[in-house]
Amino acid sequence: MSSRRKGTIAALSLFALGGGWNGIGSALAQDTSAAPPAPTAAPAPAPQPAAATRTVVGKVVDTTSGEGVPLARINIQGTFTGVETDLEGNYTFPNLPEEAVMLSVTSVDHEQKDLRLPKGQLQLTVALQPRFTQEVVVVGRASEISRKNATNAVASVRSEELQKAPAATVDSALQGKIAGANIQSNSGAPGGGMQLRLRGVSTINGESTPLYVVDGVLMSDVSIASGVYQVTASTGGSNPNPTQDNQVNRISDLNPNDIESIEVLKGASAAAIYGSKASNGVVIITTKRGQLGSGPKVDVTQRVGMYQLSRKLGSRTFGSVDEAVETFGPVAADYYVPGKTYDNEQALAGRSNLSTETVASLSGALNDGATRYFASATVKDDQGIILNTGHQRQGFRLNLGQRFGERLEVNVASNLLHTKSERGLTQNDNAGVSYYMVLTTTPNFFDLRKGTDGQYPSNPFIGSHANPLQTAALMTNDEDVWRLVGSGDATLSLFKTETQELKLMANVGVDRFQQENLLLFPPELFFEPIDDGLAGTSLFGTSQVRNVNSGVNLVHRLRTKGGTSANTSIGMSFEEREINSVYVASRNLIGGQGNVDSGTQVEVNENRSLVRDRGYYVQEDLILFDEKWTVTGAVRGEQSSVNGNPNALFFYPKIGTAYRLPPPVAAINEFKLRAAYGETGNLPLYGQKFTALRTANIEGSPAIVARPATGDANIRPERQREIEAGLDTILLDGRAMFEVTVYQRTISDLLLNRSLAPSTGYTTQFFNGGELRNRGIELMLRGTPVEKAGVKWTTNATFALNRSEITNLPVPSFNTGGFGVGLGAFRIEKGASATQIVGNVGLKEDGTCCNVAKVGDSEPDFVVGWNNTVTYGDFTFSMLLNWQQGSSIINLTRLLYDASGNSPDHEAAKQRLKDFSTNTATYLEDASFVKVREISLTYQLPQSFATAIPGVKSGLISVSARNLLTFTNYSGLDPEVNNFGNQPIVRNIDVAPFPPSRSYWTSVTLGF
Amino acid sequence: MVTRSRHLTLLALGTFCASVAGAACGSLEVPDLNNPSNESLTQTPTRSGVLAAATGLLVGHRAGVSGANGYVSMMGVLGRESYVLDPADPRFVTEMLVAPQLDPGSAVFGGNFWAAPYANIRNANTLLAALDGVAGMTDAEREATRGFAKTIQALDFLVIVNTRDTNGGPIDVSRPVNQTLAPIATKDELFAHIGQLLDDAKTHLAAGGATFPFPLSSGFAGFNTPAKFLQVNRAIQARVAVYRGRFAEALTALGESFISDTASLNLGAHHAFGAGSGDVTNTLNAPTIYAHPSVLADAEKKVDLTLDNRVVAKLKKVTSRTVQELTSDQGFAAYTSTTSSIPIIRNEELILLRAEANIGLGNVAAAATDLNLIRVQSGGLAARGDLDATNILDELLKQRRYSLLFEGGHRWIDARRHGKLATLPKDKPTHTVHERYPLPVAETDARK
Repeated sequence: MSSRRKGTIAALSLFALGGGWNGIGSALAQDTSAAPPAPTAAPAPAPQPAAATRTVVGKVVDTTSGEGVPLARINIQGTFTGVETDLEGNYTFPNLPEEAVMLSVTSVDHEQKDLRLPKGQLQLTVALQPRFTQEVVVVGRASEISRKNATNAVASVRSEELQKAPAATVDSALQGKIAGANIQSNSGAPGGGMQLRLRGVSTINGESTPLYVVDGVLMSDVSIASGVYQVTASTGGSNPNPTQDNQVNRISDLNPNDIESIEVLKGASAAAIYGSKASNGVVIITTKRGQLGSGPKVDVTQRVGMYQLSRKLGSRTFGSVDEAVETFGPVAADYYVPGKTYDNEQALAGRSNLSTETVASLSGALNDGATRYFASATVKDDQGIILNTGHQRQGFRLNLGQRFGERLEVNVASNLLHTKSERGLTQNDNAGVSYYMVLTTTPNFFDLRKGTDGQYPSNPFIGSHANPLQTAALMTNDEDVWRLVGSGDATLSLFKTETQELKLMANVGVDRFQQENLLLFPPELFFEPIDDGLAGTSLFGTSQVRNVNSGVNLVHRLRTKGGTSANTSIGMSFEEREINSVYVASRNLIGGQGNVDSGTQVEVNENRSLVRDRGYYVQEDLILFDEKWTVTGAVRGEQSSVNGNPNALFFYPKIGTAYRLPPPVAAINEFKLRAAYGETGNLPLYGQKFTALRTANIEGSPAIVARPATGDANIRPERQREIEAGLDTILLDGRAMFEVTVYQRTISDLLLNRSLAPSTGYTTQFFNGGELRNRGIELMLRGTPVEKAGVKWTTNATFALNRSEITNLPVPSFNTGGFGVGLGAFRIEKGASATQIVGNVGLKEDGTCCNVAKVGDSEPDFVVGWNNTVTYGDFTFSMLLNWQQGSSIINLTRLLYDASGNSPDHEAAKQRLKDFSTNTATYLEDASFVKVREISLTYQLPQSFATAIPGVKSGLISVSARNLLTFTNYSGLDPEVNNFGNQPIVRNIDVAPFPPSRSYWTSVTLGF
Repeated sequence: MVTRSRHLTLLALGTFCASVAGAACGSLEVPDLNNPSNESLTQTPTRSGVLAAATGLLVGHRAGVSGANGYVSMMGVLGRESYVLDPADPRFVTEMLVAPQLDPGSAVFGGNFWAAPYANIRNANTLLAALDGVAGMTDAEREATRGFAKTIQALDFLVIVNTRDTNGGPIDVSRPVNQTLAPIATKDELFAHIGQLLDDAKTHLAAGGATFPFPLSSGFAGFNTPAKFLQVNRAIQARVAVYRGRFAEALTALGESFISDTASLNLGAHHAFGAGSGDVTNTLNAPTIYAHPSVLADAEKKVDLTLDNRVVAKLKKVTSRTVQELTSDQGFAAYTSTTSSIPIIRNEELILLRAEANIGLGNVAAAATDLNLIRVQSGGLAARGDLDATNILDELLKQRRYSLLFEGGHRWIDARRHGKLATLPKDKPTHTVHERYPLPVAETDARK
């Protein structure tokens, strides 16, 4: 009986034990102790009903999971006469009177249910609504545990919380909702590009994205460059990797509407069982399933909305033609008209087209829950704020679960996704073509819009002559992804008694996608012949990505009636991840034809990676002393092809314990102390172990040269050791809940890419060394301050702060990322924060350039998420605030405006530019902000209204907005920004980003 | 029975899953799928690998030459030959022209032209080591390749001296990466090392047989045999000797070079560029690169009052642009396409080197003859009859300025060599003429 609730095949609801011997179900505890030994739900044949009595058989199930509820108590109301369910939730209630009788069904983790058993009925299935505390959390590959017994802080977010204000991607839907997760967008471009960082930075050169597990499939969150660097020449400077392509991290493909729940394991102490892929945390996503007791249920949601530019920079207004000529040269005189200005930003990004989303789902259960199904289809069309930008998604999902008798259960899930993002041309570029890059040097007395002749004017204020409006109108930057995610799992009960069960579980998951990037820059673009002398560029990038994971687990569970249970699991897993990216760049397009064979200059690049991992683990979870004490321990051994020695086994242990203390006062219902320790790794990236040569050619003659980076043939995973401790309390009969967690994580054997003295012939070297420490605190407070007279106000706040320090560095300090010290560089330095930004702070005493010191830090002082929901009758109002205090941004967009003499505060700009030549801090700004992330008002249609429409059972109407307001002193477009996409360290560099938007939505949901 | 068969099905499924895992497990030994291994050259060199590595030296030496932040362009900015007016990167002005010092922490500005030449110095050392162990090459082929490698290596060291000047640079490099770093040698020691490399190369090339075993680029057309390549080697030695003030040596080397009063002034060795996949294009025609206004303003006129032929050929009128209050309406026409070659050394420079050597030796008349040859042949200008010891150096520098305009930072290097950096025109009094590049922070950090 595996629970599919957590999506791992492994999921077991064993620890979601009912019980009722202690804690908040104390009312029952008396009953139980007072009652005579309850007849067990023996599989033995029930005695023949005596005269005037009957034996009723049935099952108590959880409405959410559909799982049987073990140890639920069924009593004849008002008496102690009753029975208890077995491990599967089955019960047999003998000697019930023939007459109709009122039954009371209770379980410690569920709401009590009273119901009438009609006369003569011999079968009764009871569905219980879970209480909040009953929620189970994943603790391993093959186990889950009731939240009340968990040894770690586990953040979970449920479907309703994801749906309040429509989000384009899963990660944006999570913003502000998880303590300890800093989720930020890299730009305002439609279609995603978000960084999710849990508990600070955890690596300097390793993988920095969390592990996403969707229904047991390790779903890739890889970010693959579009190839636009071949036009922007962003790789032409000091950053040769195409990280400035405004990449999309691919978890954005997942449809947020399909998600039932998300659980976040933040660090090693919880996630050790995921081994070397878990050091950035694990995000476990469970998609929806059919629920027992709900016949075929059809839900249709229609959303209509729009996106709107939420912030502009403005530019200098020139007082006279002389001023204009002084700044832009004689050409300015041709265009300057006193008092006449144009809002070119609005003209570029002022679009507010209708965006739509349609979601339909069908779910249900058949044959008393033996078959459960969920199918959904979605069609989404987000229209971006710039012409020819947007994001479209079509998806289809089918989840099926089938139980074969008592012993075998099989689940399959399949998800076909198509996403298409039109990303525009933004971010850093060295060709003078990206939208805001051009705007930095375009004065507001020049009108970029189409003239009366229908032609866009060539822009004389930049050497490329690029006109962003023309560029947006004519160019294509499409990212097209077709993705198929499939998973299957099977659970076989090998052996089962009253108190024990042994199960075999097997799973396989496949995540296969193709990302196609089609970029076309037709010859008509003003910059096209100018940038490289070749008119027209067509770029075609295609990446084939394949991820396969499979596993076999053996799980033994033992449970005694004394509230003691033991769950032992062992298993092995295998994972393979392959990416093959090919980029074709074709220039000088004949007749403007976009096929890549139409150019006269064609360049091809290919990049491959292939990683195979094997893992073996054993885990033991014990719950002792009437469910008061939890002890859990596990160890995982892992091999990976990316390690220097691929056969070497690396072990990742974890241990955790939690104790539910007797509540000291009556107002406290639950008082749990917990502590956990765990270790994870972070695998070397593919290629870090190789010292390779590079193939090249000169006029077609084959050539070999060294690569600037040297590998390390002995490279091994980083090791994260995390210890966390916390206190969870439930107060006032569940009306308030408070959690506090402190943690320390040290990451040693860091994958360092240290700078070598370039005179060695190499610039960098990968190696393991050094140590990084994060310490932090997370608070979570949930409460219902008001609940009366039809009004319910619930509030939910999270607070997190994290501080990092490089505690050991065996090599001299080195810079990592950015555009060099002069513009602010991230510096890895012993004793300093891992995210410190250093820069020039004046000339040295000998007059040479420059003293270098810390000028900022991208780590926020703290982050707060605060959600309030007020329900009054059928109306629900909800608002989510997200507050980030501190963190520094390198505002290079402002530098570019200043350098062009085009900043709105020109006099201050002149001073800034002067200071900047020896003082980097001039362009560092505070990134503090408060954002109204989500705001929504929903109205549940009265039953009579809804049912007036034939076939409709329920209806919901809502209006909502996302990122409605931003309060910040930051002078740039958006304090959430990163020119370099998702990076372990480098963040908060603002270079001509895609401007931010807010979105407004109206939704109608009908249930059939 | 139904139940039983289901169990069997499941067992089969379980086995299948396990076997999927087993089969797909494959080998954990995954090779580098993108690049040839270093060991293929250092441990088990093959003839084809060694030959590709030899051609690779041309690729390595070409790295960082072209482009707005390449050697030609940046040296041009420092020597007030050119501007880079790029709204996307103000540092072409703020750091290169305004700041009191070059910033060793900015990799593509003050910290530039260090990693690329040293990478190629390592390439050459790797090749030289592989040549000793490779099978299937004749002794003559090995010698020819050694001579070629050492000549290119000398050119890479020359980039270090030209940019770092008295700041120096290490010589005994290419040690294993974890060993103690080679000490920073002085400028004189670097020059001596370059001279020695070129002389060693000469010996190797002389024993190098009739042909190179590997292809050279079209930039070496006419110089692609060991015997002819030796003339390039000697030309470079002549330049180095002049830089070192060893004028007699320079004249000797010039005598063994391809210097010619009658051949094309453009005869010589060049960096070749290609538009093929995997090749590198010449991007010196980027729209952000402008000529410094003084180039046009200081140009001499011909007898017919038209401009010096060199200026006519190398500059072109473009739309005026003003960035950070610097304005230019002249672009460069020297590199017309993405495959235009960039001179490494050519006949015109050799004649000017001969003039400079003669000036150094006091042979003013011989020098005047050469300078007038350049004035007439290259500039279309009238010969000057008034050259004497007092003005001939200025005339030399002027002819070098226009003959070698925007092809390798000659003006900045020449002004420094002759102590005349102060004569370079500053656009604003607050601007700086930088003297030399600092050692990059990556280098100095690693030495702390």
